[in-house]
Amino acid sequence: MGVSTFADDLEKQGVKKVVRVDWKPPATDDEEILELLDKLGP
Amino acid sequence: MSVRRLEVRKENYRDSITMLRISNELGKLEGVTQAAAVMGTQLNRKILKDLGFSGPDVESAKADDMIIAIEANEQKFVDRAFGRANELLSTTSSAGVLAKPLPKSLEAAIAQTPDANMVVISVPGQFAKREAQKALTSGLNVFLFSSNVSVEDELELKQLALSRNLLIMGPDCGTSIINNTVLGFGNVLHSGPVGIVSASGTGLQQVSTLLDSAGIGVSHGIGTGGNDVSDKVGGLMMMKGIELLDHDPSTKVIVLISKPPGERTARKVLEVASGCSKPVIVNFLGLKEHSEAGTSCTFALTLDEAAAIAAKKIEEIGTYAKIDSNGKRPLIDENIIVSESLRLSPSQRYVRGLYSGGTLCYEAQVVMRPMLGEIRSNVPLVKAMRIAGDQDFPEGHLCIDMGAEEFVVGRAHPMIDYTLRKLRIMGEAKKRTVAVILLDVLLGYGSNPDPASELVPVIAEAKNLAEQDGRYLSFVASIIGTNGDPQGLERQTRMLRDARVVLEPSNAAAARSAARIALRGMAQEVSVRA
Repeated sequence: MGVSTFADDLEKQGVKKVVRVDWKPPATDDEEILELLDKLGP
Repeated sequence: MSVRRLEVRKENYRDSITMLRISNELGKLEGVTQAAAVMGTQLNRKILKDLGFSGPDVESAKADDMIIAIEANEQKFVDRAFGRANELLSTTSSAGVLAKPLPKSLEAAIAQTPDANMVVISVPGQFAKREAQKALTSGLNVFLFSSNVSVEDELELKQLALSRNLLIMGPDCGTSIINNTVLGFGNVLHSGPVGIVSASGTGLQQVSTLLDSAGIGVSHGIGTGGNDVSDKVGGLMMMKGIELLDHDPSTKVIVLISKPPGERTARKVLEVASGCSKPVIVNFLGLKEHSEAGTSCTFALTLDEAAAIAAKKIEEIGTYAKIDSNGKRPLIDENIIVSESLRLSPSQRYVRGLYSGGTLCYEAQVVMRPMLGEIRSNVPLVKAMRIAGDQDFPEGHLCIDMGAEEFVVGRAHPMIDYTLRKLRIMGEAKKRTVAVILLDVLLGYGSNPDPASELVPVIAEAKNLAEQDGRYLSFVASIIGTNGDPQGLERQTRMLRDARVVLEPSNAAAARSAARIALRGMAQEVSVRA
């Protein structure tokens, strides 16, 4: 889950099964989460 | 005439590599002179301003907003670029292009794949712990690429993993090789008898590629993440890794790699290593010996020394046929060192290391400090020499880890995205006091598909700029890669050589050569405080 090229590379190496998780940051009104998001780039 | 347009798409997230790909593709469109598709982190907003895109929209963008900025010769090219951007963004988000929709959560993925045994996690740091914990409680091993996870969370995750007899490689783990499969960044290697446990991704890459070029393969390379051997975490995964390799029948020799551990952790790890049934080579960059180490432990000062000692131990054991290695490593050419140093102008004195691998940056300092004296760095050998990575210095030796946190928020790692390194190279080229620029070039899975093509034009421009100013700018580098890597080791080597880059067989050798060129072969009395 995350950067898709890691999955691409695993498939190129012939790993038996690679499952990609369609992950997105949680959409939330949660103050704590919003605060954490803001810390990334105020 | 140039036309500019900038759009902010609120709360529209894509990972940094997807954004880089989109930026690259938009930049190649007809008439486009500049293209940037980035998330609105502070670092990216600063870069946009430096490129000429400013204004209230940029200022107010947040880290989870997407910014698309295009500059082109005419309005129609700008519009076309935005059209293409929209196309690319719709294909990267939609699972509808596939036959089966992708699971949207880890729980869903695990439910549909009951025989899974590993989760590769590279989501932003503040969400990583929760996901890793879910994975461990479900009985899966974890490769945790994400950084910016707190030490407390890291400790909790590792204790959880140990209680379930699972591996958690990371946080902040860039490279692992398990059962001949590369996780994260890593090179195409032959499998063989050397097992590696490493708190450094690029350190693991350097040792494994050198072994490969000597005809010796790697059984497993277990990444522990950069903080594992701090006293707060206590080397939990390093010790687990040693235990696993000790019991692995295909491993005959074990190599440990990290920057110097915390004192308590060093003792614990060495105690475990000393109790191993197999020879252990310890490379705690700069640590030459330790009272706790038993007779089965041998210390190596540098990464290439660790590889050389491991190779020797394997030959002593004697039961392994060497793999056919036709990747002949070039020898250090003494004449090049002399001719480079002769071309320098008197004002040029300093080495500027611009690194994508943090451990390689550190190793370069270990090698160069006895020769050059104090070196400033954002990953310094001594606290007093610590600087911020983006601080500018007209004088003095510098070694900058451009993969450090201050450079990668909302951006792809410099092993993939060469933008910041290229900008920095041009900045250094303008300085009259800089003699040598020292680089690491990483090949393999995950890395930039063609580093030489990225570097060659900017190296030519930089050398030209220096020449116009009556100076000579020397470039020294090492390529860390194997013949099996997708970028093509031979071609990368040729292109950089043709660009007059001095190429050495290892990072330690490159650092040594860079220092020698800057010193112009003069012996220096250097007094260095230990």
